[in-house]
Amino acid sequence: MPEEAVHIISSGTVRCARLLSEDGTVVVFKGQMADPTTQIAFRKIWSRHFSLNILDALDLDPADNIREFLTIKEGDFVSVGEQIAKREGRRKLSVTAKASGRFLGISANRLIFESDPVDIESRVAGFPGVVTDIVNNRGAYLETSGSYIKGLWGNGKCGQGILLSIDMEKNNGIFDLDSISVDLAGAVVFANTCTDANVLKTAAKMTPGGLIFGSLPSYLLPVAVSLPFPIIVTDWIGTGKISNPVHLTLGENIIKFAYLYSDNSASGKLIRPEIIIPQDEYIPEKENPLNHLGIGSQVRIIEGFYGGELGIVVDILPGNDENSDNTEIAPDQVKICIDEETYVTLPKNNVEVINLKS
Amino acid sequence: MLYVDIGSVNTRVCLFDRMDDQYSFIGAASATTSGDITNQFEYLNVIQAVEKLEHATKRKILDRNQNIVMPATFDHSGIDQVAVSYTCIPDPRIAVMGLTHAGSLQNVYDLLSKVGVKPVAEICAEDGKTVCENLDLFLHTAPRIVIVSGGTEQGAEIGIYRLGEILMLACRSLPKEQRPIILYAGNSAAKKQMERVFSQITDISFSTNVLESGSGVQPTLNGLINVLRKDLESRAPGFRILREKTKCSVIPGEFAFGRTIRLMSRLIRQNRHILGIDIGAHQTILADAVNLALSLHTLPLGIGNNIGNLLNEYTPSDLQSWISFQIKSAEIQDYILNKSYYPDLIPANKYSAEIELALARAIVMKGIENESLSAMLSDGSLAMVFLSGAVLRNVEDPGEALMFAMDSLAPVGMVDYLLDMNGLSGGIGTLAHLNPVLASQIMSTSAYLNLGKVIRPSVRGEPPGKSIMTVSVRDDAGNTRKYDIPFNRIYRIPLEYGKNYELEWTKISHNVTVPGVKTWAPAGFKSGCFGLVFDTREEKDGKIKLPKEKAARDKKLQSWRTELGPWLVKQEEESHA
Repeated sequence: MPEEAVHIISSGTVRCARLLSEDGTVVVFKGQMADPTTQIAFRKIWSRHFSLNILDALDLDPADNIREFLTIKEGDFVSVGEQIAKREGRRKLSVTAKASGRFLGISANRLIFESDPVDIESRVAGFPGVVTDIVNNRGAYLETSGSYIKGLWGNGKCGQGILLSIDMEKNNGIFDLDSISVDLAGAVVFANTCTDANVLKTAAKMTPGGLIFGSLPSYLLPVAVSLPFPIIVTDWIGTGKISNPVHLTLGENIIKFAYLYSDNSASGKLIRPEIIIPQDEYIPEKENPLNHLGIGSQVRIIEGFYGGELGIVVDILPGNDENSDNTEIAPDQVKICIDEETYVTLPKNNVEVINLKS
Repeated sequence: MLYVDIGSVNTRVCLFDRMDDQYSFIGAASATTSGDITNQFEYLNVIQAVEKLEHATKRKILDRNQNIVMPATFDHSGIDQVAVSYTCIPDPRIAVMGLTHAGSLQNVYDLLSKVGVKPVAEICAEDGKTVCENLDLFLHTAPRIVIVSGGTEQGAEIGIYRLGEILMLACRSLPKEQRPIILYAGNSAAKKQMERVFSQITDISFSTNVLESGSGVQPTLNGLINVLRKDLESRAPGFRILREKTKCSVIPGEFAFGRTIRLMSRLIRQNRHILGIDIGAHQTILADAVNLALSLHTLPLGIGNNIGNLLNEYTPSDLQSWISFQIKSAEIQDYILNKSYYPDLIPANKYSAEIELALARAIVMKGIENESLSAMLSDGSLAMVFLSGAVLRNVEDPGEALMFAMDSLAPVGMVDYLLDMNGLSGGIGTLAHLNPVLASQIMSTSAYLNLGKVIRPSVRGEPPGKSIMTVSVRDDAGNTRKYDIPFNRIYRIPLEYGKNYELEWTKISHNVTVPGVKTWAPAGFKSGCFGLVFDTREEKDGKIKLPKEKAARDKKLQSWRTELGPWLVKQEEESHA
């Protein structure tokens, strides 16, 4: 069905839905700050199932109740080498996992395991914002202040970068080989259209943050889909100029940070791509040590004797304030445990919080 | 009586009123179907459409809180009954489980054909797949509904439990929100055990055994419709609000259209087929009925948000074939993609209208590749074609709709064409159980536009001369006129709309037949708005033969349209022969 009518917000509250096409699992809460990569909701399946016969390994009779010999419960995850079942008594026997997986249940005296979970549908935030509403089992609404354009077609990729424009006076604003320069690297660039597949492929070498076109001929869409960066068409499939409202909105936000969101993962449903340009400069939460540092944070020491070492913050020591007797204001300090025997105290600014992805 | 059809692009409401035991069609209005799951948009769209209907008919249907006034009051405000059909939530993704292909699964397939659904996965005990193979198959298709069947009454039971075990493992593998709704239609001896296990895991419903001897699938159909409604309301909560507020019945649009065509098959001669074609934005329904037996086919191709699927079936240059002006194949591709993103766009000029009708031809030609449909087009057993859908309803001249059908179907024999000008195609099927009187009155009145009778002879080998047959047409007053029917063209005999005529076959060349027609006896008929049309165009492999060269093809397409002529032609005017 057609989407709702609001397609352009030149400046104001931007509210974006991140909803699954069907019921799934929502993993954010109301009021949560979301990064562009924060997962909002997903639908998951376990894509591979395999069975294991433990009767022979435990020398059991088919009439035996194999549940009595299991050391795992339904729903447990087992890793390679982990014990699954054992037999006590004179002949002690045990069975260990030869592959990792989740124990699903028993069928015909065989243990059924499942592995390789895949998201059949997933929604990420795509821009920094606050979760303002949760839709049960479907996803959430996120909000920020800034500009917003709902496009027509996207190549299914998300990305971001400083928003730039090509010279619209030159060559009718068509994105061509002359438009490709080092400035394109990491930037989101908008143009009226592009008519040459080679230009798009060449642009990919500069690793742009994304491209926005007013229109794009249908024969270029497969090329656009194959490229690793986001491409959004705002107005029309074909060849023509970018529409005035879109041009104005983008033009007012030159050199601001723009987020391109395009998601084609929903089963058969067309989801319009979005361009979100938050009003304020965004500092990713996870990269801002001042906001996030606390006891237990994992940090990297930036410089000095222990420069490069990783450690855990065990204490935060407040610095002197202006009323103290010291003439110099000492900054906040942090006490860091590098290993069992090594503790160092350093200025808070000399460490950075790191988030190792598990 | 308010009939509501919630499509994937438009929500349409039709109002009927009863005066002196006779229902009459008062008016219809549409609103765009739009919104998302959070705002119960289906209900709001209906209210928007009803507001427009109020404006158009000068009737009061809503109260000051925008609720439908029910029942109707003495001052003719409000309505008494609401019936709803929907096509806006397609593909319920049904998986079927059974013990045998020929027994339980065959009956489940028959059941699903009534609602035009093809299962996404099939698990059959006969196949000998392992539990893990079945689980992989099942989970990859992520069904929303599972129909479990198998075992006659007092028959197989253990086999059912084996299927149940697979289903239980599959449900456990999924988070609660992703688990399918189960419809159990198997041996009732296993019902208790199934309920004990599955009622704690997911939603399970029960219906009569599909294998119950003598009952056929009809009793199970109600169970299926209920499960489909349950699934619908979980995906689109606005339907629940609509049902609760109006106490309406909600049935799938495919089922409603199929039932309409099935009931209309009673209006024609025995053993003759009626073919219903409903071209929607999301899908196309082809319903074939003969002697009240229905065969329903749905194609995931439409003239709206699913138009893009045409590019998976045809190359853009193939789609050019039925367009009579110069257009690049890339432009057609652009048009298709734009339409898929703006499905509610209405063709604003004759060029885009022609493109859409050409694409509609391609859709129907793909649909009739189905064996059971193609047979009736070539053996003369097709008696009536019923055309429905906005792309056909919104044509400038109904002749465009008639040409569309003649080109894409090319059925031999004598066929009547009806056009659903008011968007009531699903109405009969939806109202049939709720208000049978109204349903029968819609069928018996001229709610549909009779386009006319088209005769397409079968010509073997080279025709002997310019004329392949001579016919005479006699009107009520006894006036008779003779016509020589030429070969390889469209020849129209304009007649007065709604009048009775008699057709007599004066002379037929030896290598010409009209399948399904007794040419030795005169045929009486009521004239449609295009009178009597002879389609003697050449065919190749059952399809109208088109010149290969683009310029010649364009000329031919234009000349055929000219030969058919406009809707309003005076009877005295000769056809362009």
